[in-house]
Amino acid sequence: MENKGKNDQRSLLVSVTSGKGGVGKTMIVVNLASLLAETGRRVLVMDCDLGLANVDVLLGLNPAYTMNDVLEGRRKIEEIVVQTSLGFDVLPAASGIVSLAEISAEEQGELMAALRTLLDRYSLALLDTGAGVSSPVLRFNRAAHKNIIVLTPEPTSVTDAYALIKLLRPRLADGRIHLLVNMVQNGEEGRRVVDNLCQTVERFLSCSLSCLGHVVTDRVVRRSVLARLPFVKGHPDAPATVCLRAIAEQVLAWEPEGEADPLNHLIRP
Amino acid sequence: MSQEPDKKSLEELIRELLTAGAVKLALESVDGSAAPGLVFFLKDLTRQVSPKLLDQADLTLPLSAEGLATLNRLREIVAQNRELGELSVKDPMTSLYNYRFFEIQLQVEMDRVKRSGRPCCLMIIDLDRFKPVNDRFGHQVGNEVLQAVARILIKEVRKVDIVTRYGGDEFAIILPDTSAPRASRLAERIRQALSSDPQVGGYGVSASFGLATHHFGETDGFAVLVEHADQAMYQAKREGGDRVRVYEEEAIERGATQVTAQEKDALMGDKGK
Repeated sequence: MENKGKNDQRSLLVSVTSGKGGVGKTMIVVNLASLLAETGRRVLVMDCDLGLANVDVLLGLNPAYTMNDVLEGRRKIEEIVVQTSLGFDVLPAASGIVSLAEISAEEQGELMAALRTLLDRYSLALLDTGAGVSSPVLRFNRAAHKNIIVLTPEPTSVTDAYALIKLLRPRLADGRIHLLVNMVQNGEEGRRVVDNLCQTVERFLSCSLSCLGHVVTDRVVRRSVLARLPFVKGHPDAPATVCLRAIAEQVLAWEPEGEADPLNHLIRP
Repeated sequence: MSQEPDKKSLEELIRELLTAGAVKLALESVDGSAAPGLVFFLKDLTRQVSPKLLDQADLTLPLSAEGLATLNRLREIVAQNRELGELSVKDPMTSLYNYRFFEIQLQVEMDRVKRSGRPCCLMIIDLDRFKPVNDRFGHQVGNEVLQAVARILIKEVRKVDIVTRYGGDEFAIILPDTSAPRASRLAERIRQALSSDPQVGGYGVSASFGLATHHFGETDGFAVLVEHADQAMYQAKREGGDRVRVYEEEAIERGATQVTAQEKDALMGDKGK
């Protein structure tokens, strides 16, 4: 809560991304947001997935407006933000920021200014990006101070995570990339995946890779999806919650360091 | 009284009208009472937009002489319109689409990306050493070379691809629903076909290819895509021509995401001895 020093005005932008889809990204986002909000932080979740607006589905929200309404002047950006009962807010269809075609440079400038003003109200924003290495996904990742790459122990997920890491290599050297292994059977499996990945990165990319930890496969996760409620709320002592709490503590220690205005990456390749 | 046109000629007629986008027009023109079966059938077609339906449909329809006459008039109008339309969008020398059509169609395809989510590619082709041919053998031969190039381009592409004469000895192909690797393979095939053709390669003419992709979610407009394909084409020229180049940013990213066999082994925990 107490942000001191020269960065105390800036909000921390953290993207949650993956090389492969279906690794539980959005689940991680809403639960992490809940935990962070519990500590008193002002948290905004930005749904940056072009394909599927999953955040609102997971939370059972029904956003009334989209980014299009903002662009066409019918609504202000803060009016499309949805407040949840979980202590954090959601910006639905934030992907529109990079995906709206037929938008002039002037309109883009206005949109970015509105987004900056909005972000000023939050101490932390979680960007739920789509999976893969497409240009919009890369832009959102470059626009964030920190990237959490979510993967599972599945070989294809590990390979795709590595491909994404290679693509974001300049950020690797800056210590901006952090792993999160989801859906592991136990800590040992999580550590094995992380060890292999970190050693590969050290050997072939000559960089060290940081790991936030793992989240174990837990029945409560599935049940919470059906209940449309973050599992950390209904099951504060469940194994998955314990795992994620340890991760949230590390995120809380992050500072918005680096470029003066990483958001510029949203509008330039 | 109703007459029974044979199934085949009626089917041809409808197929023709359908491809010309005239089904809606036909619907408005055909008297429903004269040919209820036909109206029903045409309605079905406009809904499904699938010529395949023709094969399943029962076309032994009771159609009045008047109804048939209307359809035949429609056919004439459609044919005339098509002829006029083609004249305005085609290059008379090569019979390829002209720049004007290129502009319209590229925008159409870029808009389609927004709906389909699948990328489209732009291939710009500039002939190498074409001017010496013109200077040495005269414009007649030069024109024959351009016509040969046009023929090869049409032969190598798919039906959905749009081949245009972009400028004097410059061509552009719009490749809907295509990613860079596939476009790259096509470009390579065309490059080889041009070089080995007596009427093109035989005169020492080859081509430089530039490729750029418009991806789902990209806000860059028409001009940026053309610029990127142009940049790639000039890169191919700089390297001596007769080669295919993909717009740099993509090439870098594509190369960077390739995971080698050794890396894969390392990821799976086989510690490369």
